[in-house]
Amino acid sequence: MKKNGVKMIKINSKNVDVFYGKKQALFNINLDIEENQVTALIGPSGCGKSTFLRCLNRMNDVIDICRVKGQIIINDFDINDKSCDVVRLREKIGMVFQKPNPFPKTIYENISYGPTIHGMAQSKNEMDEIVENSLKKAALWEEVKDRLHEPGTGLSGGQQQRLCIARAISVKPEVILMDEPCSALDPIATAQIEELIDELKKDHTIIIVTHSMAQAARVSQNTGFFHLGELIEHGSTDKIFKNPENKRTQDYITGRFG
Amino acid sequence: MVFFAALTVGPFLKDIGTAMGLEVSAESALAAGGVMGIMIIPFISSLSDDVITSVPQSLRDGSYAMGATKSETIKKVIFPAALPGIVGSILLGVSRAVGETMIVVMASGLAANLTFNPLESTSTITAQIVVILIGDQAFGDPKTQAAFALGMTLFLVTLSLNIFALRVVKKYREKYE
Amino acid sequence: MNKNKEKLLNSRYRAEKRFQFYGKSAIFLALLFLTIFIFKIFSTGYTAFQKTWLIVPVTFDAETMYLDENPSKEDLEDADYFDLALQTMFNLDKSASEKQQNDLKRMVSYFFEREIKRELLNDPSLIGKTKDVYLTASDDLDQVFKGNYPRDLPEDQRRVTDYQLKIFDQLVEQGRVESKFNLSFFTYPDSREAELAGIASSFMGSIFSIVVCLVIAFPVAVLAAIYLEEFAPKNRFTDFIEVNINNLAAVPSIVFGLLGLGILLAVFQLPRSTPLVGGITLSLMTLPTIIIACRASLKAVPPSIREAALAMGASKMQTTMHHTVPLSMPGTLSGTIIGLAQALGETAPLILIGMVAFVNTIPGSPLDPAASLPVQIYIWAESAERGFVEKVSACIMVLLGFLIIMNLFAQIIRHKFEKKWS
Repeated sequence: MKKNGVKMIKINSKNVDVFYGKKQALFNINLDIEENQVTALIGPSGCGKSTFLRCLNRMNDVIDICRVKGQIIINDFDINDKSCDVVRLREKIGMVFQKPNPFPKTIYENISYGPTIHGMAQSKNEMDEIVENSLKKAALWEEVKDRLHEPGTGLSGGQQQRLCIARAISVKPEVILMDEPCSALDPIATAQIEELIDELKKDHTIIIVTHSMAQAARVSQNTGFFHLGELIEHGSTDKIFKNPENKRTQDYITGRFG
Repeated sequence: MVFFAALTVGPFLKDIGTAMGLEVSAESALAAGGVMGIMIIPFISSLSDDVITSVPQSLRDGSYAMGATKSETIKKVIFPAALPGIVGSILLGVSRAVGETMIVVMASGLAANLTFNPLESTSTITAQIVVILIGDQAFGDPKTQAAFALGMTLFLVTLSLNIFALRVVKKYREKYE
Repeated sequence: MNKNKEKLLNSRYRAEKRFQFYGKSAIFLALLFLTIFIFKIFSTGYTAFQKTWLIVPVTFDAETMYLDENPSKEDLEDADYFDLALQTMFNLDKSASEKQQNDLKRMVSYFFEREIKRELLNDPSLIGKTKDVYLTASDDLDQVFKGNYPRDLPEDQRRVTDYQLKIFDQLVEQGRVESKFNLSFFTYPDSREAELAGIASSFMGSIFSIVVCLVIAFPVAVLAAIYLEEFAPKNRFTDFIEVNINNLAAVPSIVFGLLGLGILLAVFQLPRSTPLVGGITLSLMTLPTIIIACRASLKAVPPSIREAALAMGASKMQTTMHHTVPLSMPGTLSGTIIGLAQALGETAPLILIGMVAFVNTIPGSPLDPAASLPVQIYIWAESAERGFVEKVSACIMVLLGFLIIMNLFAQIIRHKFEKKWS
């Protein structure tokens, strides 16, 4: 989105290096993410795109041997700084995973989980409203409104993934990270999710990691291409797909490797 | 083999009881129960540990990504998910404690009181069996037969506890595999 | 709004700290019990590995032994050493009254006669000469010397008389009391006298029981597991068997004891109190443990290995014996060792089949009556004498040592030889 013709940058990463034990997984990543746009990260598997994604809400903290260096600046604030509060950061930056992972609770409890722990609703009515809005935004409301109190694990794969998206947006995050959200889904469910992503970018900045170049072309405005832990090239999706500067990007796009 | 604990921890519990102003005899149901409770700690904790490990990592990630702290994740996601398995392991632990003999023989007074006061001296099925069968009884002796009847009761009680516990654990496993 | 948020966040972090505190205190509590347990056993038990000796001058006077001047070996064997031994003790205080003489005699174990005899048999030339001989002190003096016996009790409440203490203190002053490593704890059988009681008989009993248990349980369990896992059809009957094996593993041990008593002793009339019956009873207990471990490790062998062998034209039997079973052995063995360790520590079923009887000989075969280590602990713990208190702890230490070694061994086998299938 442009304000007065200037691109608004939401996330600004500078010289990010990531190590798993002694092995370096990411080399000097400098990538700016535009606000209220969909940014796709593509590349062959093991190239570090998911690792980079997990840096953005510090999910790498969960892995003991993982170390992150460099700066990632969101809202003028370095999230790798000691003073950064992980809990607050993750409230602002939601995440959707590769495999749908609803909690083994009811649909209602799945959505109300985030608002409850962050103290967002003062009353039952408010909570009902949050749940309804989130489910509506995730285009799941019509399908589940009659069985909110049944287990979320009973839904189909595509529904479960939309439930996870609804769960992520229930706390009104500024950024949503999606780690190959459609890789475990069938084409129809994938189409529904892609439609949803397009809808969501009005209110949220979205970063999506995907294996499928077609998907990147369909949903994203910007694209970054990763290879062997390096960010080879990034820019608008149009440019990357039609007119890449780097030879390796071109080879990957045209399917010569990967 | 854990009955050695009865020899050491039993008197210790008694000292604590006295320090708190309670008249605990070293041979009370409380002492025996306390030692048994300590004995099944490792049993229950290792079983529950397995159960908790088998809760998929993706659930933890999901909760952390929502901005939950570690304890919130444990209390609201992992623990409820693992609860059936934990209950199952507790049941298995209890059935083990019911079948435990030597602790009671060593730590309780073996007086067959019908009482609900845990500070008094009591006995258990297993201890009664040992008490009856130590020494030389003729095989057809009614006392011997009583011991076998006690053994059968014990067997049936622990068997049903086990069947129930194993079913709970199994159901839980199927959910995640 | 923002202030509220700040407040909420702070309280969430406090909850986090509290939760961690609960967890840590639970672990602390569990460790505390373990430390108390180990500390108590070691602090009361370590003295049992020392034994107190009185060094007493013995004059090997041929006349007191009713011997000729030049006795043959047989004569020495058959001679009466009792008077000599008594005289030796009386010599400690020549002015003792009759009652005091009795006290003097009780300062050493009733073995003192044999200890003197052994000294002479080792060196027949001692006749007519005087030599310092090591005599085992009575268990009460042993405890006094180790500081476990309160000396300040009034005389009528202790088993050691003032007179004995006086003589003992004199001996200590003369350097005639010595504490040495208690070898007899490991080489002597059980005894009613604490100073002479050892674990040799119960140790052998345990070894025989475990060997019998292993010989019966291992082949049966492994064959059962292989059949169930590799050959048996999956139907309701085998399901039923599987459920039963799982339940059998959790049946209280005392029920197996009743089984041993009711069937092995009453029906088959096998000899009571023997490691043979004990081993069979324990093997019933160990069976399900080994079957479960063996089946689990058979299951862990990936089907691709079986398919590869079958595709090479191996029969089902050859596939199982050449590939599946060898690959599952580490898991099976470590399961077996853990099962045996459990059996080694088991007490209740052995008590029921009569292995609690007092045995003062070292068993030479599984058909001789014997006790086992945990039963020995039980027997000593029930004894009133102060001398047995340290023996109980020492025996627990020995048994714990064995259990720890066995479990370590199982861990090593598992980690070193078990293949990880990815």
